[in-house]
Amino acid sequence: MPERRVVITGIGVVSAIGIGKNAFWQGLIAGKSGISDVDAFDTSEFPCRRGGQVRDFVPSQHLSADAIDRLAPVAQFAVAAAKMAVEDSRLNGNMEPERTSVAMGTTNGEASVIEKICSVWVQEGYEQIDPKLLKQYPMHLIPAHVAMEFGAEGPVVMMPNACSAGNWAIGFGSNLIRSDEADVVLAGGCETLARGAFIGFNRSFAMAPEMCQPFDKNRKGLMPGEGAAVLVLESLDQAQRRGAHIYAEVAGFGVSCDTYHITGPDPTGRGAVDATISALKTSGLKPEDIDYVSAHGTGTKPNDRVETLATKKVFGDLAKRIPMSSIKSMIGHSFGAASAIEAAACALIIENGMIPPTINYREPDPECDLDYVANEAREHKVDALLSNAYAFGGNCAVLALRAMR
Amino acid sequence: MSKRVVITGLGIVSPVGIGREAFWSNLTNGRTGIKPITLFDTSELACKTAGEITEFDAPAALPGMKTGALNRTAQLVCAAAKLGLDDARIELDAATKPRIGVMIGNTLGSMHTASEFDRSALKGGFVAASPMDFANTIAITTAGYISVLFGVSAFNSVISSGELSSLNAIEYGASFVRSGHADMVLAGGVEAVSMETFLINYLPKFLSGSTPGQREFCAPFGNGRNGFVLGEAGAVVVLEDYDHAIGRGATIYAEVRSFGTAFDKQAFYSSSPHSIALSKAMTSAIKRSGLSPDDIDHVSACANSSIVIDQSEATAIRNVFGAQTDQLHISAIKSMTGEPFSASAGVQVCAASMALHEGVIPPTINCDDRDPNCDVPLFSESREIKIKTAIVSTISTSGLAGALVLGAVS
Amino acid sequence: MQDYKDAIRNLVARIGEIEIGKVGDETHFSNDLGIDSLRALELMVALEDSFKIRVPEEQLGRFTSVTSLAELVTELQAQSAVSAA
Repeated sequence: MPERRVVITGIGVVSAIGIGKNAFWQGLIAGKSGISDVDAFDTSEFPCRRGGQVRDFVPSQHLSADAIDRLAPVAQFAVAAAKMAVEDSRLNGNMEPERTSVAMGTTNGEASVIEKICSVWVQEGYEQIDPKLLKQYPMHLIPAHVAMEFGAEGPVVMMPNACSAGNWAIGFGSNLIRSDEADVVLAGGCETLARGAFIGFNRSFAMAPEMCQPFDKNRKGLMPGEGAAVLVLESLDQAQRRGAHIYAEVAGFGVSCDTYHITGPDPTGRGAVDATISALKTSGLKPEDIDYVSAHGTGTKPNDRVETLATKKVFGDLAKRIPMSSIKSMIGHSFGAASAIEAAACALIIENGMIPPTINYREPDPECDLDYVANEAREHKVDALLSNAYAFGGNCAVLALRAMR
Repeated sequence: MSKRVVITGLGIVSPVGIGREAFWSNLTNGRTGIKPITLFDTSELACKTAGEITEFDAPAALPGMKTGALNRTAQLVCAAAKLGLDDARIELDAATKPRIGVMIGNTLGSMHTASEFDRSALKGGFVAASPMDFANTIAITTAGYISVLFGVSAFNSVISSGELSSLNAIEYGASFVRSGHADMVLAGGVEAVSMETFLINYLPKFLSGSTPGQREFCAPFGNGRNGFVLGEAGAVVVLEDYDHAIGRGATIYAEVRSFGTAFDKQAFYSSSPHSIALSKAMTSAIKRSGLSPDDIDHVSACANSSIVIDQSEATAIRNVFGAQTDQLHISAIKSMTGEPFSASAGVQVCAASMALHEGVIPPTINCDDRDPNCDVPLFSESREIKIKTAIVSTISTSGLAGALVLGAVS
Repeated sequence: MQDYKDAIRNLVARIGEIEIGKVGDETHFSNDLGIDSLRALELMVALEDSFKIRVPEEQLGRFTSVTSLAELVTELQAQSAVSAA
């Protein structure tokens, strides 16, 4: 029996440049910056305190009063994005419970909850910790809330793979559909701004003070962000039978890992190269088929250098002709949500034949000499693309999407 | 054609023993691993015991490796990975390393480090936070350290589904063997005891003895049980393509046959027993193996002495197996290990694999005084009997349930 | 300076998980002792705490040996003494 094919039929996005697929897309094409002075918590002690904070999210526009009361912030983002995605898919509730699954990605889940727990612990003692917070903390409850919203009864998982989690969730979901375990998977990622990220990245000088400048010679680091995206993954058969609108096909999912260091990438880009080759192999695509690469592009010196190197290793001379842009230049690095938001962008890129820019690009870096779609969006027909995501632990995951026209 | 996936190595770091042999010997001899907690001060706490791996020593478990950077969660799982690799007699070299992947189930592993990291910054400013600890504040580094320490590079990932984590890890890990992306996958789960994982269960009074005046004890399916006892473990099995295993003369403990899962949203907010999800999960897993309930010999139960979980499981077992229940060999090994949360199914898979391989089924201890509402047969001493199939059962307090069918391989 | 070197040597041995006998004054952190960028940052935090200094990012390149760090610490302490005066 031929393996089943997986397509994207719905998109929901909560991002720093727009809530909802349309606002998000308009922001991408306009090269809008979603970076601002973060005020989600007290940032006064940090040298670098800017990031991609989501400012237009109004919970009551997406969630019931009961849900707003019960759900902690990351779960609210996740459920809201899922609702937008399912509405976009026009499934109209036609999801067979046992054949519907949920797979989300994050870093640790409810960061603000652990931070509140810690504040109370330090100031008043652990006996004063609100039990409601403890119930909200375990991260697998977040996809469970999404499952409850839609009556999904199939596998429900959280993949806490941080910077590559969204790709992993989409890969997990695709695998369920291909192996006939599910017909619909709500797959994505979710994250809120965390003090822990500000502490850690400030302390290790990995954060930029003003703006995120992927591939630029003077790039100073990443900028933390937040948000969520959920894709409705569906079996091609079912999508075609119901006349669904198809954005793109999830053609392949490639994985590998560096074994070099727990946080920094292998300078040879080995894991990134292997994951890219794996994505091409699993999708049946060849290097010359790729019209665009959505970069991991965090804006740190090591990542952008290694990502460029890895791209050249895989594509050879072709590399210079394949546009590669970083959406993180606009929304920052939303960690567990990032690759899901980028996958949503990629589906829209295939649909619309336009590539979003890498903004804040001012001075080329001799070590990063590819076409990064500097500063302005570009019309470009994209029939096949790759979306890169690299996480701590050397984790590399590359998604391959293909147009279905 | 779907490849067969088998288990060729058992890496287990548990409160009842470190390493397959010690684990199995203590388990089959009914020795409890529940003991007074030493990892933090319990003098102000009503609960004093846990399945803590007091004998665990990271430098001894990982000789020649720098373990100081790893938090306890990472140490336990890396130690388990090493034991699994050694048990499977895998030669790690340039040919094998790129073909070995890592899939680890974990949900709360970063909680302790994240909490310490944040609290140290709250007290001393962000300059007081440890950069090395930053990596440990996030869950993915648990699997990441296995890759970095052992050089295995097909992929690494963590997967979280609470009590089901190890089961999802083994199932998803197996899919990479079936697809041919990896020849072997180190799959399983880990959870460490810490003040944080303790509090998350203690403050809502889920732990036995947490209400003043209550006795603290662990008796799955037992009369008057009042809660579970926390545990910790690292359980990493080596999943391998069957032909690949035969080709290199590997010992095969068991075959991973099929997986079933279900989510019951009514159970999410309920504090009443809920058997629907596990009934569906077990039924589905059994059916996917091409088997019927009558074919199952052994149930590795997830019962942990909690009032709700044990009842839910007992009812589900009766639902699925009917009269056949009385013929089943059921073991609730958490009677000895405590509840190691994300690692629990991994520990159960290790025990069930040994049962299939050795023809000995471990007992349930503290099962003399039974709750009559939990109508499932148990035995207090190991049973010697050749079995062909086992099912590992897990229920999550979040309404999820999962089951994995394992088969003997002659 | 020698006191600084010994104190620094202790920190390097602890953070690098290295036998103290292997940490000579000139032993290279990265080439000889396998101290990677993350451990170097950890060492920086420990130095700041022990010697009551703040290490600017530009000085990370001097995390090469015990002697180099002893010089750095001396300089940074002198600087903060000057600014306090």
